[in-house]
Amino acid sequence: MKSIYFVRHGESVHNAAKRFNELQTPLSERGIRQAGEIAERASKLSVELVVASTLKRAQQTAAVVAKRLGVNMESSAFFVEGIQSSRLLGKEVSGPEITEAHKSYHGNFTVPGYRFEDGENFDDLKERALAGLAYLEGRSEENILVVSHGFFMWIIAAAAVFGKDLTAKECQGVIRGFDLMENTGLTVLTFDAPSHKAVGEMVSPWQLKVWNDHAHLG
Amino acid sequence: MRNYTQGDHQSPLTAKGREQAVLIAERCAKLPVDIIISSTMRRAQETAQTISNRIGTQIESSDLFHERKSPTILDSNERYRSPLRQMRDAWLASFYSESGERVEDGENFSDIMTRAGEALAYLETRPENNILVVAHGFILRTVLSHVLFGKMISPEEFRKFILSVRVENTGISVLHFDPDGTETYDNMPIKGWFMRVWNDHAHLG
Repeated sequence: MKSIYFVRHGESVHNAAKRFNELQTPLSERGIRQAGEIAERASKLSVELVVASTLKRAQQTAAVVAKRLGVNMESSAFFVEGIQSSRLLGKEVSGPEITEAHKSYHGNFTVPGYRFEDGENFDDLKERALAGLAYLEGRSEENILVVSHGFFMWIIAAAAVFGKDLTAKECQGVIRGFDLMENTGLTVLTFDAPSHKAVGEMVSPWQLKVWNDHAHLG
Repeated sequence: MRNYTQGDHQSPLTAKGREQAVLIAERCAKLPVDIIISSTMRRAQETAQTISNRIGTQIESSDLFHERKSPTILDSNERYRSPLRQMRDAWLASFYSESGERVEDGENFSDIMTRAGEALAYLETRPENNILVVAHGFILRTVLSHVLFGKMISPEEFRKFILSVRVENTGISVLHFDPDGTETYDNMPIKGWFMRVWNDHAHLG
């Protein structure tokens, strides 16, 4: 059985300042400490490979983990954060622009084809999450640690649970009902190739085993 | 903390189950638990008692957290012999069917979804802020699906959800309830129930 350990990046300087992250926002000092804590925890798992989103905060987190574990680190654009309207990057999260944008984005999330400005829409996110899962399925390693992002982890979890026919309504249920992962929180997906008997039954070969375990943070 | 293949009320913990109960009790000592609410089934009661002994918090029992209820006749028989196996299969299928037919006195989709809603409503009205519930795999997943979708979930969506969400014995899941709305994602307020952690079992090594 394949196990994928998804880790949200450590706290970034924008997370700390309650601003929307930019592509190159680095970890805060606290985020660097958190990366050390999850690296320690991950040393008890038999991780063979670290895959990191190409964004800086994920790369920094993954580098700490890969170094501690002594395994290779690869980068993948499959696991970058959900792409937001470029106008919002770096803005204060409680400011008027983002409050208004959330109202439109989440209010119209289930409207077919809806897109907020130049950000990714539901169809884009779903396609990318399923492609990312297919990529992990195709890797030869059995135990992979992936460093990704808060919003995108909801999409990954929804795609894993509901499979290729994931609807916007199901995805919205996950976004609404699962809390945002903590910085360096751990989410575990397992992959079981469906048995012949189960082929007609299973909707997704992936199972959500753990969401946002952060016991290492105390 | 759960076992979703057993309908039997009196089925006790195994030696391994008792060890897991000690480990989770140790872990719970770090949590501010005001009360323990346990399913009435024996394996939950034994787990709850182990935790209570460690942390000195009292236990109340509630049938709302019972595992999905099988037809009584399956509880008291060797159900793997046909024709009871056929009845068991029909009962298991009744959780994912639109038609909603009950098998004898067993629960079906709408029964367990109603009970999950009642369980959440019950927890909302408890005066304690930190409640530890000892329950079972199927009812826990049903409660989580209710948190996500309320009564709007279809039996087919429920089927997908149950098949793809895992639970470990003594895994801890954390639900929060906030009537006023909590900022969860970049200032997006969430009112009511939401799931913070699912099936954390770091204590199992």
